[in-house]
Amino acid sequence: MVRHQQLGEYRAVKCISKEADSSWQIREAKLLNHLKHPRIPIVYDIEEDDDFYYIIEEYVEGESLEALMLQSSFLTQSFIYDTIWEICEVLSYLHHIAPVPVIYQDLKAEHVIIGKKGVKLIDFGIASYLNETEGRFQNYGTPEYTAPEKRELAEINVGTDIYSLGKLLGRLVLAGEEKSLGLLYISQKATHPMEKQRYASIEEFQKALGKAKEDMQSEKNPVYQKHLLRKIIVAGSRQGTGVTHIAVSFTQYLNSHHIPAVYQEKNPNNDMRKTVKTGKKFAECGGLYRRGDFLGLPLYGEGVEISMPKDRVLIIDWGNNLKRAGEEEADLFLLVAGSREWERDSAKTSFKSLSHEKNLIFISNYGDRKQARRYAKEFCRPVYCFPLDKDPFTAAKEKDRIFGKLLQREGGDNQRNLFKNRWHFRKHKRNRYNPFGYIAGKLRSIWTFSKKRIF
Amino acid sequence: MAISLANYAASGLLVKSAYFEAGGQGELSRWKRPGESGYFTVKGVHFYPDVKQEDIPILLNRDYEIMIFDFGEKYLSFREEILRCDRKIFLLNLNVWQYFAVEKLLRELEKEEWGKVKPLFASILPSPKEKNQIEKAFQIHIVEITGNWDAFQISGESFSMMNQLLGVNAPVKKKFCMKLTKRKK
Repeated sequence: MVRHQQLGEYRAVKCISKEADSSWQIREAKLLNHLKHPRIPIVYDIEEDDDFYYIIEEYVEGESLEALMLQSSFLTQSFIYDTIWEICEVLSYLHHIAPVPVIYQDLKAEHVIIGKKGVKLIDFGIASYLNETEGRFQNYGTPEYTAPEKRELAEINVGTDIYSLGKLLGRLVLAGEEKSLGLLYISQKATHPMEKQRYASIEEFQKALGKAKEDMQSEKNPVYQKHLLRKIIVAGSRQGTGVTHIAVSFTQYLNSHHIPAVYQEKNPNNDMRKTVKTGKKFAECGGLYRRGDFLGLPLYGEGVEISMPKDRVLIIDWGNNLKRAGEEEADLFLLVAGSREWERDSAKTSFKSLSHEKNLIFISNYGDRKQARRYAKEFCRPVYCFPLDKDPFTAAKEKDRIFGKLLQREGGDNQRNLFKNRWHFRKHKRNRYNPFGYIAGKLRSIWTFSKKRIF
Repeated sequence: MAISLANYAASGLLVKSAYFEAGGQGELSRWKRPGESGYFTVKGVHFYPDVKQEDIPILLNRDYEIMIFDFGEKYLSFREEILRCDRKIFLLNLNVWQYFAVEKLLRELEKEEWGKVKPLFASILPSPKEKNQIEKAFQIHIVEITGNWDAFQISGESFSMMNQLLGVNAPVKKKFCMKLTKRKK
């Protein structure tokens, strides 16, 4: 590594003795000189004196992919996807150089450098123009990554690079902690022993990769699904609509179903603090209060810092402060309105003011199903009817049903599903072979589904 | 320590609180200039710099729920005021080279009649040997306090200690597992 005296930039200089066979290195430098891509190192100059050639190249800073593969925690699905995608971009550039494409031939983890600016492909020692050797080339390269037709028949083409890329992808996926079946499938197809069975071009490979990314982010993939709901805002159309009650119940429900959740009070009424002061059933730890399955954070000033459990769902109670609640971004916005006659006007106005919210869910409180249905018709939105409930800190069948439906429809239910079957089996163990119970259950489900938009 | 308590009262307990610099050497006024009413506000706490003895009766009439007086080392100058306080916290430095100062202060305090409100002695990370020695010699109890906190960013872990020092009736501190799923079998 050398430093430019005037520009102060670092450069890599290769010193090649004239006594040794230096022709291939000069050839590499000449080839690199023709290639202009942000992911390929730049060759600035070739100098020579009596004994040496000096190739002045761009200094590539970073870690090789081989070194990163030793730490499996680095190799997340998105990291693998991004890295392979960037390599694809380079290969696509090389394969489309006119008039004759360049085949890299030596793609492996050691030759991929991950730096601050992304991926850089180094060592073009055996890269060549496709017509340079008339489709034939000496058998160089790493055997692990070498395509069988190149190894056995010494034939090279675009498929040679695709095979190496597939091998690299496979190694990355297997070395990582999260094993994506979609990426493994792409790797298998790209490394098929029969050349015709592989991807015909790097673009086809990229297309498959893009589709795999979409699948990874879809609801089917549990790795992404668990992040669907992280922040839920609960706000009411007016004071006394039961916002705190619903927020506390929801927190209790999530925690009891093994989804860590914390209730956060931003309600200026300071109800939680009052409850904590009067109630004896609360336990305090690190500023958080717990009662049964409920875990809550009362309203604190700006001079306090509370450490929250990791990977928790945050349920924020904004009381009737719709303006502030609307300003905050959340995965789900629960608007609570009362079903009594004098509460209907405020329900309409608050719904209108928040109608732009994408994730808005309307909850009609106090168990009036008729009014909930009217709200649903009027607002053209699903409306959940929250039942009359005595204690928000304890579970109740009706409440659980509402929250279960809400999670199922709005996402974030995957963690609950892990335990769902076990729980279900235990609860309905006795009714399992009871034909009457079975028919009654079926009728109930038909009746529930017939009530459209009311859950 | 006094600033932390005032900050905890304002942000943790959400009560109107003020900090009075009675025994300082004008550090607060160097930090920020007070307004016309004689104080400046940081994170909800009203800070009164350079408070003199004659100002205290006027300040007591302001509607603060918690007032933290920082008398510094001037115990003797503010003796009457200290005796009137609802909570008297003496922070002891138990380092070997400060031992004589602690002993001197405790001898002064021994002479006082405290009545119902006993003073509370606290020390930041004291060594057990010296702490026991002083506790035995003066028949007092020294509360150990952890010294790793930011006066303007009170962590949840130090809440119970703050409650203890301020004498606030807080819910019983119980250790519980944050991972609720582990609790169930």
